[in-house]
Amino acid sequence: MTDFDDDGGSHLSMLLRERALEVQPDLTHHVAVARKAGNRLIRRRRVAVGSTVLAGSAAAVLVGVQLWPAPSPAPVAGGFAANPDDTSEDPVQDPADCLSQLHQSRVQVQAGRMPAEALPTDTPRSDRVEGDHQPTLIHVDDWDSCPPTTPLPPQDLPVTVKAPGWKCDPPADDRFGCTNGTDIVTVTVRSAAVRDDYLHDPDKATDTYASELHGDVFATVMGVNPIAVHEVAEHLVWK
Amino acid sequence: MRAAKDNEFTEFVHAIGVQLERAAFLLTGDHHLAQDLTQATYAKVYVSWHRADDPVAYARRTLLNTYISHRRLRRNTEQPIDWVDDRPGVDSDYGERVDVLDALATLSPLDRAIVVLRYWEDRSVTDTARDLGVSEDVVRTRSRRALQKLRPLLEDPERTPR
Repeated sequence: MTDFDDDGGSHLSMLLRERALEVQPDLTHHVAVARKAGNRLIRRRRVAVGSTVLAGSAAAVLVGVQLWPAPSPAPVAGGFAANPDDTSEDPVQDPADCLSQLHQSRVQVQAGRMPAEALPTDTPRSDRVEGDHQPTLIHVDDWDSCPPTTPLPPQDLPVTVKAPGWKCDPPADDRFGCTNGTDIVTVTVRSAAVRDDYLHDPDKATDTYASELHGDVFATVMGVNPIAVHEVAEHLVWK
Repeated sequence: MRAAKDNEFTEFVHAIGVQLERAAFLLTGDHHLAQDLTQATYAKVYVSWHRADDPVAYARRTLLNTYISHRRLRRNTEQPIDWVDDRPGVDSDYGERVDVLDALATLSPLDRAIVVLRYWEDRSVTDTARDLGVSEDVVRTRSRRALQKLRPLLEDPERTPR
């Protein structure tokens, strides 16, 4: 069965199989929970993308408000509709438009200096998106007014490898593998928060390379051949 | 389109769900952690459903990556468990019955993943290396080392597995 049968591999296989038999998952429940969690992830990604795209617009509006402070919610600077309800007259054609309109309405609320206690308070913390200036609250129910989604772009990590003779797999989760036909290395994108712990992890493979921080992430390159690790590490390309 | 995706996803979970959660159980040694791990995996697979050429392989890799990342983070705040000889039914010379999960708990996350892939899923060295993003030499070396470590814990021929 394996290369190590004479070392106890077959005995171990038997033990593992017998031990695993006690697991009888409720798959229907798993499907329901996974769909709910998956849709939540999709929503959050859309919020993140939308916030990035619209951050410039929001900043412009806030600057406009500082130049022409408005005593009431009605006047709004920056070219947006004076009345937030105006957006409701336009049919929502796609999620991006819907997101834009949602965000505009939020910006207008901020511009009108709506009291904080008037903002939705039942929004879970995890559904709040922190912007560059102030938190932008996206009420969960708002998303139900948006049409179903456009397909998400391909999974994209902030780093790639452009090393001659090396080919890399598409990212899976937070990592991808690369090979030159002989050696294999794994490139993993990690949170900056764990970098110090990672660098001082005594169990870390000795031939692991850790990049400098790029924003709030860094990359590691792990492999057996230190020459291969070094070669790939030198050809990391950050986006 | 969404209904079709949901139907495909439901079929997918029912096709691989038992195998995936059993793998998660052997990796974590805990039913609740195994459920959490598989749920996190399913959610990621659901999000990437239309992008995954091979959902089964994608799910397996996601499960393994999530497990190893989770263990690495947790190890920043907890001490790795080596063998504890004061547990019921365990002698200092390992002569008594030892649960295979307790034995697996003595391994590092990567070694444990290699053992589960190789000796429970019967995956080849090549496939295991690809799943974990390491070289085949690493798989061979760590497999051998893990078996050497597990052998004294599991070798009692009179033992009846749980």
